Amino acid sequence: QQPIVLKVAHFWPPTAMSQQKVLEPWCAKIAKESNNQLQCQIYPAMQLGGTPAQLIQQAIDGVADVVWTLPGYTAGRFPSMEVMELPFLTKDAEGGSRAAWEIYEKYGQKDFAGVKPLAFNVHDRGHLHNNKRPITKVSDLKGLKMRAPTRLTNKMVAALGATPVGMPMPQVPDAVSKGVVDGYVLPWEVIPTMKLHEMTKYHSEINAPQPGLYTTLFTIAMNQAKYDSLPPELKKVIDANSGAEFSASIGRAWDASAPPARKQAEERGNQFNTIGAAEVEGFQKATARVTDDWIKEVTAKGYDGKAMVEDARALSAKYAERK
Amino acid sequence: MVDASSAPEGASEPLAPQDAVGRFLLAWSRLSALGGVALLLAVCVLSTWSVLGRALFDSPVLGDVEMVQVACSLAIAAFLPYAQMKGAHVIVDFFTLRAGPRLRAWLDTAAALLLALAAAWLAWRSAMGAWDTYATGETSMILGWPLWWAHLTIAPGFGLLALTALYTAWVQLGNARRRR
Amino acid sequence: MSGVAIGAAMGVLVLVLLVLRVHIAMAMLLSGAIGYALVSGWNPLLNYVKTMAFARYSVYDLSVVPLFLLMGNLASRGGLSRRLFRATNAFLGHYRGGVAMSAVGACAGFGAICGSSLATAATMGQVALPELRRYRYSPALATGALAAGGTLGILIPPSVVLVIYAVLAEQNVASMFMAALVPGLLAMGGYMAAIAIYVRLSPGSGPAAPRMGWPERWQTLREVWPIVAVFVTVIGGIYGGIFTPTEAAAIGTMATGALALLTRELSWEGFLQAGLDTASATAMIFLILLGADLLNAFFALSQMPAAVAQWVLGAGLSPMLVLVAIILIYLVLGCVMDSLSMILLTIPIFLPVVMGLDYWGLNPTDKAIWFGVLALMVVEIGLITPPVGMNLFIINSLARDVPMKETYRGTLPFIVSDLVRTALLVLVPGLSLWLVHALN
Ligand code: NA
Ligand code: NA
Repeated sequence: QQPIVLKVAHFWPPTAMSQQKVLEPWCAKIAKESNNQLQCQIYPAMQLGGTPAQLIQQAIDGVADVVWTLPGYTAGRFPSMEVMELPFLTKDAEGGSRAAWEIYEKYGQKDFAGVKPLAFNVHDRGHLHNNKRPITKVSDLKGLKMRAPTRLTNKMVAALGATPVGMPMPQVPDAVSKGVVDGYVLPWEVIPTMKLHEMTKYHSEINAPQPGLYTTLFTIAMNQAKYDSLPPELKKVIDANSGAEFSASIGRAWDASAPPARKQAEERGNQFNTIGAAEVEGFQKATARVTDDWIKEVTAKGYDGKAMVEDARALSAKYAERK
Repeated sequence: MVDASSAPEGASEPLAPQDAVGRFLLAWSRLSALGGVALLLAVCVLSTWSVLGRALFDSPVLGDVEMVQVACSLAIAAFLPYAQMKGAHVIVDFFTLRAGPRLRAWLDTAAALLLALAAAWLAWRSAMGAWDTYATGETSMILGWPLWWAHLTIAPGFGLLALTALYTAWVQLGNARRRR
Repeated sequence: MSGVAIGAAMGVLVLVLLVLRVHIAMAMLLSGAIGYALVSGWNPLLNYVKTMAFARYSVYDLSVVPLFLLMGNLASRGGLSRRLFRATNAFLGHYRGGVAMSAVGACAGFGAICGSSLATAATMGQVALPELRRYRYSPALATGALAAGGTLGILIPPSVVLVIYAVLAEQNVASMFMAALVPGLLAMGGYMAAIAIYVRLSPGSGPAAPRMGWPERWQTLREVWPIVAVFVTVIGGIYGGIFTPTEAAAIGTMATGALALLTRELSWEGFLQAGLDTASATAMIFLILLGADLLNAFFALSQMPAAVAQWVLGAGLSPMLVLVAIILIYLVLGCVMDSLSMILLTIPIFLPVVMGLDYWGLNPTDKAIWFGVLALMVVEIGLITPPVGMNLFIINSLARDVPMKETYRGTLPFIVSDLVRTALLVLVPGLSLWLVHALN
């Protein structure tokens, strides 16, 4: 029998953690469990054309069968899952990813009509990096030009008093090295892959026990019609390799990626500082209105914003502790 | 047969259309193109302002990159029909240099029809794409502006391109018939 | 049919359509659409095309293209080209072959604010050709030098083709510009050397003009310094990282427009014409880009580029042989095709091959940049190689009494100079890369 080949598309380079530590093992696993009836053809780096923001539409339209993308790339389109990106919500990637999957099951299903999400994950704690000064309190951010990845993180950066500058990720190293931006928010893993540790002086971290400053939500989603077209035994293979556990495993990969990446920045002799518990309160206060605004916004769209935030907080805390 | 450049001064330009349909299409395309040029000039002002703000007062224009992207996509789509009226969309004419003018006119009729069909197809698909963007309520990242209006000139640009290409086909057909 | 076979079939279809006078953009779009539907199905194709135009036309890096075109057109309509030539001629004109050298130098200067070869050839041709004839330069040398000089419009950054290569190869636009600067200056030097040798071998083909006095020279310099200032702002700003190429183009356009207005050489009519020329050139480029987008998306789906790369790597050919073969293919294609279409058509296939081979131990980024500059140089040779060389046609159309054969003959020394420079760049990648490394 002809094997079914899934077209898997994403925007990272083929050497990135996302392909090598997550997609390739996943593909190997479904191939094995389906006796090679399910296989992948991976198209990294937007080889199918289009922009990263179009990936989710490519999955809905069946241009690709499976995509890995950021729901936040299409601002305004997936209001429910954006809750995971509110400031000070997740503590780690594994727990946050489990929480994200549950939030999806409880609130998010109608947003994702046309695709079958296989996983939702968040990255590990996102930190502040810049070239001007160590950031120890909110007022240190005043006037800094900061690059942030999504709609909510841009709002958060603005709420902290910095100027948000939007640009695609590939332009960031150049912009940083040339002072077009003073800094950026990112989790550790991404930094050395873009050689950003070589052009950044100060790394300011908000660390446990509080939740991290922010995170970004990712999803691996499959075209619904493609899934429906599979014979029952192959559907079972997909079911067994999607959902909460798959999401958590991606979170684990992010958690594991942080220490070695951070070490590279240490070896460069960059300056590190931890934002103390007392100062974190100031950050939380300054960003509280991002959360308040978000609740108002989605409530107007017919969601129970308040309950979603409370649930997301409680779930992230619960799974972080259980780890 | 042309590289990235303007229709150079001194190079032969197609004659201005003599009939009413052609004059109307040319005027319409020209207006569309000049609208696009106005957008480009707005981009120049905006970017310069943003650079100055960044350099002097540490405050670039919020969302400048988004605005440049949207303005340029609107402008580029608005340029397409004018280029067709000026015969600027490129062909390789090397292989048919020795062919008779009649054969060339027939081939050019077919090519223009093909362009008209493709442009109409792109206009239809782009309109669907614009509708999707509207229906899903997608917004830009920083300014949070609705993105559907960034598609405003794309389907109309291809639509007008289709009409201008049809007109070219009609003119070439006339040439093909006349040259017996 | 396998994906690779469909890929090959559609490649052939593109060429057949080109021969039949179908628009280059449509040849690529149509073949891409058919191939895409065959590999993936009609529905995915219909869905992909929905946002294809918006996605391609809203790429920030590509926004620089219409802006640089507008800047070049404003400079051309605003009479800046004439001032450049007067200045170079004041300093070089009195040498043997000097007026032709001045024309080449002015082309390089104009190329520094203009992103296109044709615009440079057309603009400088109008300015310099009457002078060359006044001093009785042989028609072959005069038209050959101007046609070759016109290619400096693209060889000296900023350059539209480089922007598009950068987007295709996912390289930084500013780095590509830096990498092209020294090779571009080498091209200028090479053309001047070609002229010097030409007039030595064929005395009388390029007589010396009278020497100008220093007061006159200073006067011409006073007239060009604003252009130099615009150039330094734009290119210095990009290299120094003060702004992005798009911002640089925006600032440069504002400054050029202001200059042209201040010197009162830009009329309202001229301004509108500059805008309309920009519209037509931009539309032409972006329609081809759209066709290439669909074709390249289909090529990726068909896995043909990967198969070609694997086959080449598996054949165990020496990297240098492969590179020479690629260069020869470009030279042959260049005889009949334009540079932008060549880049768009071939880079998705050639780049993976080159990236899989070892050249002088270059790292992937350096290799991609170096190959980009190399490809740019080679496709630009096509503009001056017979039978179809767009620059030759433009210059020849400005000098209607000169037979095309004369122009073909006059261009030969410059083609030789191009080939020597290409060989140099192949053997010494550092020529393009050192500036990138020095400035980063
Ligand atoms: Na140039
Ligand atoms: Na040629």
